[in-house]
Amino acid sequence: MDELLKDFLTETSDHIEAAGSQLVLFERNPADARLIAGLFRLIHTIKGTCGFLGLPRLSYLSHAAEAMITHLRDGGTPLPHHVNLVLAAIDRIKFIISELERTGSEPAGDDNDLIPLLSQESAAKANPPTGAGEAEDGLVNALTDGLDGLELGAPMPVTMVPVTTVEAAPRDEIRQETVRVSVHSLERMMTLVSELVLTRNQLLEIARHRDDEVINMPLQRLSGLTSDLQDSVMRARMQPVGRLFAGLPRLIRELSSELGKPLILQTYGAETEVDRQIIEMIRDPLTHLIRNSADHGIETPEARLAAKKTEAGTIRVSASHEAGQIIIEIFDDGRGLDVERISAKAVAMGLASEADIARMSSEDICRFIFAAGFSTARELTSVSGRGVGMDVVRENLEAIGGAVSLATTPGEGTRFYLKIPLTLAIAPALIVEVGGQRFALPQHSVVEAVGLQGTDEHEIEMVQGASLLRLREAVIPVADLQLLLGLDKHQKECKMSGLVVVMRLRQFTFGLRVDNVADVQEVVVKPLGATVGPIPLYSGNTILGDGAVVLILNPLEIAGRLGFENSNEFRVFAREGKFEIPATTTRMIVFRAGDGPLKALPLSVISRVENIQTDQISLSEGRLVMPFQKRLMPLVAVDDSQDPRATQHCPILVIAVGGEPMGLLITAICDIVEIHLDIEIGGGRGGILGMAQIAGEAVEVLDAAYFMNMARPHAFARGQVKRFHILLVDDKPFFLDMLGPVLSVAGYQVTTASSAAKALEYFEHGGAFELIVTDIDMPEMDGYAFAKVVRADPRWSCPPILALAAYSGPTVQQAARASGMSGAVGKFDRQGLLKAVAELLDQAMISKQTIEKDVISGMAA
Amino acid sequence: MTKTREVESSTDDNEYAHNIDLDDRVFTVWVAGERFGIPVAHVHTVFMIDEITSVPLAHEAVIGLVNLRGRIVTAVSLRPRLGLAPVIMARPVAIGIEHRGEALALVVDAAGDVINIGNGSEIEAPRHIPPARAKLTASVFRMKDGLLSILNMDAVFDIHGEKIAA
Repeated sequence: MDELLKDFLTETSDHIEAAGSQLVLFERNPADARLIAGLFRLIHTIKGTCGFLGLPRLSYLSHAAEAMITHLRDGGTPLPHHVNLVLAAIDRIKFIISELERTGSEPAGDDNDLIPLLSQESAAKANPPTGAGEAEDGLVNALTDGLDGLELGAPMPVTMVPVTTVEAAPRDEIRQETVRVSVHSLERMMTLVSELVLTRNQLLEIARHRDDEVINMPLQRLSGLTSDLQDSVMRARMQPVGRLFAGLPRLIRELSSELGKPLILQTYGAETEVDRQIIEMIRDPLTHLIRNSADHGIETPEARLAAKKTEAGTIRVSASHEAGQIIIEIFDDGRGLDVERISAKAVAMGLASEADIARMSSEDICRFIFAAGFSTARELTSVSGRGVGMDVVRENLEAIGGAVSLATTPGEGTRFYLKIPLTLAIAPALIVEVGGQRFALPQHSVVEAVGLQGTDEHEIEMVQGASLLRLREAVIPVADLQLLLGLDKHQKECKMSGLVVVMRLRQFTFGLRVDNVADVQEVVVKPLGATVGPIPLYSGNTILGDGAVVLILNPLEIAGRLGFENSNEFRVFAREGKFEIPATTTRMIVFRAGDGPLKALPLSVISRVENIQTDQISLSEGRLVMPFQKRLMPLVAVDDSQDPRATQHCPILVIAVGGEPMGLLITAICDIVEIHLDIEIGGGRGGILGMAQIAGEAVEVLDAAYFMNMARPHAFARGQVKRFHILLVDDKPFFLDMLGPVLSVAGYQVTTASSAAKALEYFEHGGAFELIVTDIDMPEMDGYAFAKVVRADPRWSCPPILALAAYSGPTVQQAARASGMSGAVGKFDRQGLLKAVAELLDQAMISKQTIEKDVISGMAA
Repeated sequence: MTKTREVESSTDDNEYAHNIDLDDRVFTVWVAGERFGIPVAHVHTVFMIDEITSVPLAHEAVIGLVNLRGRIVTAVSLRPRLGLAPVIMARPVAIGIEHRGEALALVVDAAGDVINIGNGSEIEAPRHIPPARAKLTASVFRMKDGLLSILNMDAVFDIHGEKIAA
């Protein structure tokens, strides 16, 4: 294709997207001349360039449209009828352009349906004050008359304006300097960076065996730079979601006239960036949700007025970043979901029984609207009853690792939240092994992995040739990956060894048996080559850190193979938690102590469990003590109100504090469970870290340190096992409460400060910390400034400082390092926080030892 | 069904006939003692495959995926395409080919040289070559040192079109 034409097409298709919205905005706000002027210039440029490039069909059409727009620009009232005409013309231009892009030439056919209407209207309606307008109209008429006589490539009877001299994209904001880069070059950069990452990894591997300081330093630097570069290239592929929002004003306008409801659209966060691939994939779900809100959510104007609401309904679409994901919220101030009708329908469809419904929260009931074939509208309207339902929205989002949830308040409105990954190009994946070959399994669908051998009690059972896994209360179908892939021609049924990776996709939970889980890695997802063929079991391929190529498995297809594909079954599950690597489970002892909820402690802190005779216990100076192993052992009751001497026997948990035992008085031991400890709600009372869910029950997780300190303050302070002291600084109590327990559960002593000033006060009073974790965004003194003050003061021993940021991108990392901090982690990234904390403390300890070593070796020399 | 298949394959043949590369130079490769020519315009590189990731469930001609300097390349063996039994080699020789925007590696027994077919004369392809092979053959040349079949790269890599038709 001609270079000039190519430039024209990319330039135009970018701007034409926004053109319709500009017009709709103008219609609502005719006083804003800038809106229409922008549209005019765009169409004018198209017209001019068409003449130049020899595209007659496009130039006639744009000329006629221009005449109409000129009329509007020069003060004509934008009647809906006119706006419709121009919108139709814009659509036609879009169509012609897309055909041009596809085939390189204009599509056959003409626009005689539109052109006469456009020119008639502009001619008839033109208030004749401006001479220019008249001249234009005259031209259009001439054009329309002589339409048939004109040949392809005929010179246009209008002044040609070359594309370069006309600013085609008027923007309100200051134009940033940009260069147009083809996606192809970006992909090429991405490939090169991936290659660089591989080379870096090889170098690191070599350096690890050499232990050569001279090489290690620059290598570390290279390593960091490579990661930053990878990140930057990733970011270069990002585009603002504004692209997605651009079409919304027009959609709202259409809906408004179609439904006879006045609607107001608000959009926020258009600058939020997301991978361009994702933008295309969420376009349809977003459109559908908006249609749905307008149709079912927003009441008729009469009903709204009767409910004392504004006549016009509001639909608000906002986008924001949160913890490496993009959140899109669609809110309507309509009537809210009708929980009763949804319940009735769910029962009628056999999705749940009356008894089920009675036990469900209204939020859970509302989730039924995402079930296949579910529609609460009694009569289908042309707007949202178009064969796609909310189930399709959910499926589309889940297919890209996203999720949709909703919240509704009767009479006030409904909110849909879409959670979408920032990119599809890089995804965390489980590297599984089967039959000696590795495969990547996208982590977004993985819930957990359970072992089939050894101490684990999980076992695959065969029922009529189908393999099932009993997992706690549930029985889930299991597919053997080796069997699915046909790796072993002789294998007939599911193997009983290895691991089962439990996945949840849409509403289905199922297992995939593999030999081993080798690793968790962020993989750069690449599409499979066309020659490999359409094998639905794979969704792509990638190169791992060690340079090996692995195939990426497609969880949707695996679910399909287990017969979930055509099933209409839908069950409402609690919202999914994030997958954690299976190795991070903690064995917890669950027990009862007095009244109230069950309590739990990590089993590792308990040295033994004793059943003691309560008459051994004596009270001294208000403290309970008992003889234990020829010495006196202090006892602490978990529940103060519990009188241990009320019963004859009483179990105690013996905890060794720095070599000296203490006893924890409890009522009864219930269970020992192995769980992934995730404290969901921070505790307020001393001794309680917070609440966690264990086997479906809310359990209070106790703070062993609190009781140790109570019973054996000295031993605890002396601490044979050193507990690092961390200062956590954040102005928002929410994060202090959330992250404090996370750190204490990990074995650190945590002191919190609600501002930088407070933290500095601790230092002034001689507080000593091994590590500071500080929020960046704080009023008065921000995290960077705080770090600089701490670094600058020689009185303080300069502990490493870790920045907490909403998102730990490279710029944050850079700024953090520049202010003397050691790094930054995301606020919601608990695993990342713990990892960074452990690494920094390790480094700090090692560097101290190195100093000592240096001193010693210096003395010896 | 049968009829449609015939119609399809015959249109395919016509399409291929128009796609013959007119460049005179070809790169020769050896498979089972026989010499074939690949138009040089298609050939990017010649390399040995050290490590290959097999693709379970793929067509038998797709022997796997290879990391060629950071790029994932699909390796297709010429032997099964020609109706020959596959031979397992420790370090197979592959011709790196860019075909319709996709990076591919054609695995052969051995790589030859670049020769100029302008020195030979084109002859009519023998009518009794098996149909599978006839499809892969763009033309046949008589050279000084024997006959040379020029491969039709579109047909060589059109594994799935064939699969659907078959």
